[in-house]
Amino acid sequence: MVSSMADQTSNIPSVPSVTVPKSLRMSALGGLGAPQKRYEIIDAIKANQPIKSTIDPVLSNEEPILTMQDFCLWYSEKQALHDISMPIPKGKVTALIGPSGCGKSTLLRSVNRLNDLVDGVRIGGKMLLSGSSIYDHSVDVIDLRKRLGMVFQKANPFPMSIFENVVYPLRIDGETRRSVLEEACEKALRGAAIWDEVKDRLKSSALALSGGQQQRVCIARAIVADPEVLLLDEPCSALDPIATLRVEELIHEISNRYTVLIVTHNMQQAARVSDYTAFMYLGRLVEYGKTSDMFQNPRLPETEDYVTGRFG
Amino acid sequence: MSARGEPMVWLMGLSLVFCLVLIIGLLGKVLVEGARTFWPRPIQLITMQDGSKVLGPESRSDVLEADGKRIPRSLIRVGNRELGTPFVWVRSDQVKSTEQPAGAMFLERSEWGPWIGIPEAIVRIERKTIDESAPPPPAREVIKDHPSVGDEFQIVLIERTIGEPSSGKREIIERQYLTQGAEATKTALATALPQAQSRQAAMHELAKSDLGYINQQIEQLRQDVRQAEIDRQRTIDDQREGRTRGLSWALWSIMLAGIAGCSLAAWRARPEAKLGFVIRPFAIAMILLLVVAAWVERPWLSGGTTQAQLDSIRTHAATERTRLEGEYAKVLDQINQIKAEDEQYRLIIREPNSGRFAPIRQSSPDDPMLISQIVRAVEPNQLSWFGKSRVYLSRWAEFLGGDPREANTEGGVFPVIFGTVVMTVLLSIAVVPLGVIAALYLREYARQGFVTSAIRVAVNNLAGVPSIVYGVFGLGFFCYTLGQYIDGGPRAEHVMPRFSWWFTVGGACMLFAGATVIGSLLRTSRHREGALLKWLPAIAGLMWVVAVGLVVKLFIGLPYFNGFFESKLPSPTYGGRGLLWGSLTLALLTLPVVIVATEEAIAAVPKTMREGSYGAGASKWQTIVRIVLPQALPGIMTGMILAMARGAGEVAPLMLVGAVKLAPDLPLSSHFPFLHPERSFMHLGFHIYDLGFQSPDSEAARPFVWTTTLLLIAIVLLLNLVAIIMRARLRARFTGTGL
Repeated sequence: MVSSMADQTSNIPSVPSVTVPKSLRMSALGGLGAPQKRYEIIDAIKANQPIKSTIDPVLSNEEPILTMQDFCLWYSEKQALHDISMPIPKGKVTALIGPSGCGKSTLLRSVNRLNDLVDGVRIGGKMLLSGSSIYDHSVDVIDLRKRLGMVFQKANPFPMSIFENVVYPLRIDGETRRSVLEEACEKALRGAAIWDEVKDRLKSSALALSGGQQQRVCIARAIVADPEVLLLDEPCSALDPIATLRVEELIHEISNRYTVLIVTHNMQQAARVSDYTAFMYLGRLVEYGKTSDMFQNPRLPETEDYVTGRFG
Repeated sequence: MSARGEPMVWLMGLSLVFCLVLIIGLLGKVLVEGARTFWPRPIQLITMQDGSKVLGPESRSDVLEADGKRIPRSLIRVGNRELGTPFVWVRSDQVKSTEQPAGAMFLERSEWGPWIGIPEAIVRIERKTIDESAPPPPAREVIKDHPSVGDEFQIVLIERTIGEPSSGKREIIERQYLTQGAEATKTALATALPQAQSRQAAMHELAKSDLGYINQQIEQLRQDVRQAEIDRQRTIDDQREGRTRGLSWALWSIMLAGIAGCSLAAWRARPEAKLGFVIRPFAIAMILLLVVAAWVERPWLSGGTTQAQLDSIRTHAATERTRLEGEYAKVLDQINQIKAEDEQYRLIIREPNSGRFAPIRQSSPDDPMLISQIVRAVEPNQLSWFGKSRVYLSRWAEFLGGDPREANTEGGVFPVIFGTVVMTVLLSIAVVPLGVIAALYLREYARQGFVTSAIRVAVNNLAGVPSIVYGVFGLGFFCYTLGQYIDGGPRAEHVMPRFSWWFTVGGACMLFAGATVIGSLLRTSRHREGALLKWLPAIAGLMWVVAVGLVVKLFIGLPYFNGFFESKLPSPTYGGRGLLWGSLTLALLTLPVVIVATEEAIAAVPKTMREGSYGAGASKWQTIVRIVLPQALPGIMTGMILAMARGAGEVAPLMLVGAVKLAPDLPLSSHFPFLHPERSFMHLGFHIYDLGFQSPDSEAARPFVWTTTLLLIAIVLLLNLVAIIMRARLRARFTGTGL
């Protein structure tokens, strides 16, 4: 991995902007009248040429829980993901950023094979969860999804009581013991930092909650079965700032218990909650490294310009 | 103004108002006409200028144009059909005087429609024979010392008809007057009528229940004998045509070998091997099938019915029959006793014009009517508003709870309501599961493409097919094909020889197994590619279709089945028109409604809900059952409501497949099997048509048309209301507000 990193960096001829110190404000101002820059990687992507992802060697020191190797995905004839190779470190928060339509959500939904539901989806390459392939023929998709928790962009509580919502994954697993369900429900709701708000109305409909509360109930539902990886697909995009703050705090809190893979449009959010950040563009992984580096000191000008809002 | 489109807005408002007026007008007319049918109307005695008299309530009135003048006239219901037309037009310029006589009585009779007249006396008829030599008693005798008849009545006058002597005897018919005069008769009738009616009810009960049951048992005996005869004939045929047990034993040993082979396969199957997981279930299924087959084929049973068995059944039936006929005679005796008493009590009620009284039957005008022939006696001219309300309510009660009389123009419509409701309920029971399952498959499982689109278009078009087409189909397929199959088994020319039948069973099983194996192959190799994989779904589909076709052929050629009602043939049981076939035909008719509504409801379930469920590790089935169906349930209920409303009001197909003018029995009985879906039934929609257009006395039937229409609308409304309330409760339950 280290040697390949060396190759990748040597492939990039001159990256002058890497050394330039930056701040969000300055770059925003600078972006206004600046002449159109040439982005070599972006140009290569637009020309549909293969590119090498720039991946921080630090990642190879982490123990990966999820590994993608040359992962490709097609929606019928259209290729949505191109040769994505990245490890997701265990017990850390990894953020996926990139402009709309870059394949972040597709990649996230490939992890729990939600894309299987779409007609005409094909995949190539490999994706390994704890060392075993997710897309192997022998894999039971249902079992796989039970090992992963997912929270969606828009809070999607089921039209049932809060209690039934949270214990839904256990119910479909055939758990009927009341005591077990109640215990798991309380634990998950406490984990999702909403126990105190709803403990007195567990039997009332989850649809009566506010948007932020609904999203936290969904998070409780996602963690009730102790998933190996928690997949968050822009969990705050439909929330107001205060609810967003609470959910971010929650992500931060649960990050020491779960591996979290989060897709976000919000740079600050990525910077605040994640340990590692991956920048994607048009279905390719452009750069992947420690969050602090990605935002303070990225290796590629594309990344820098994207995180500072000058591009994308 | 025109720029803002205001004329268009007015136009749109106007068209809405127009539609509303039409609908409200229709409903209002039905409500008013239907509600006033049973209200007692005053009886008028109209004396014409030529001296003739007309007695009866006014039915309706209009204006006649004659000789350049406009003359009001009214239609008087004079009843008394034995004497002439029951309705008479009275022109106002020919009327001399009109009054409302206090004693006039409107008698609703069980036969021959109403009699309108003035009651005169209650008499008791007694027939006596005396010797020719004895002196004949006086023809008329006023009784001073009133002898009592029963507890309530006393004889006040005797009139005798003295017959001519013949064979040494002389017959005397005594007419003993128990009351005389309108007032006294009216009072006495209040006691005599309930007595007569209870006698009538007792006779009816004996005839319908006891005699009916005995008849049913005798019929059962006849069928037992017939069945034994058929079995005997079949045995003789088998022996003559040399259908030996040899073939049967050969087939049987093949089946046993199959069971052994499958058991071995099930035992040795390794689930971890490729396709190992399908072998064991298949082997077990095959074992079950072969066990059933071996049981059906049992070679040692092919001996059939012997002559001795047939004879013993015949003897048993003969003794039983004698016993039952004895019971029958006893019950008949009881009935005749009650009847003899009943026929003594008569009412003399005269019509003022001709002076004739109501006869017992048209052919004997000098014999006064039985009191038990009266259903209800009303004196509208003396009734207070309260009394009229009581009559009104009692007529409604009879209408809703009674049986029809007089070619449906009088009496009740209970069997009609019952038939309509049972048919609608059966229809929903048939259509909802079928439609929901079809829609679920179409929307959730089938791959969306040309085929599903074509099916959708076809389903939508089915909703527009004229309903009579469904009626023709129902008659041809349900009644004549399916029904006759149930009655008498497959037709002789289609029956397959046993060996080739079992051969076909094996073929169908192999096709099913093959299609399933291909299906599971396809499922496990979703991400592989290849030319063969492209064609495999089509091949598997073709195999399914062929296998289903073979199953149909197997049913048509079933050599072991001779029908469930063979002994009743040639009179059909299920092979005729009936409630079940009516419901199924209407289920077919309303299927598109349910499918479309369900599909829309399923499609309206948000994608995020499904993804949330899948993301939580639910399978497709769990997602459908726990998330999709509960959310779609209100929509499905809407489909069911629409289907019920359409089905309950449909008439044309029912005329072909089951609705009749007068059903002899309800489709429900107190004898096993209680529900008789093969019986023909009465239906409100058809009843309206029958009353309005097929009735012998259309003027008398007219108010009943309105009332029946009102009832049909009320029932459809009620059924819908129940469904709507259910839907609202479900919606509240599944979409949050309070669990």
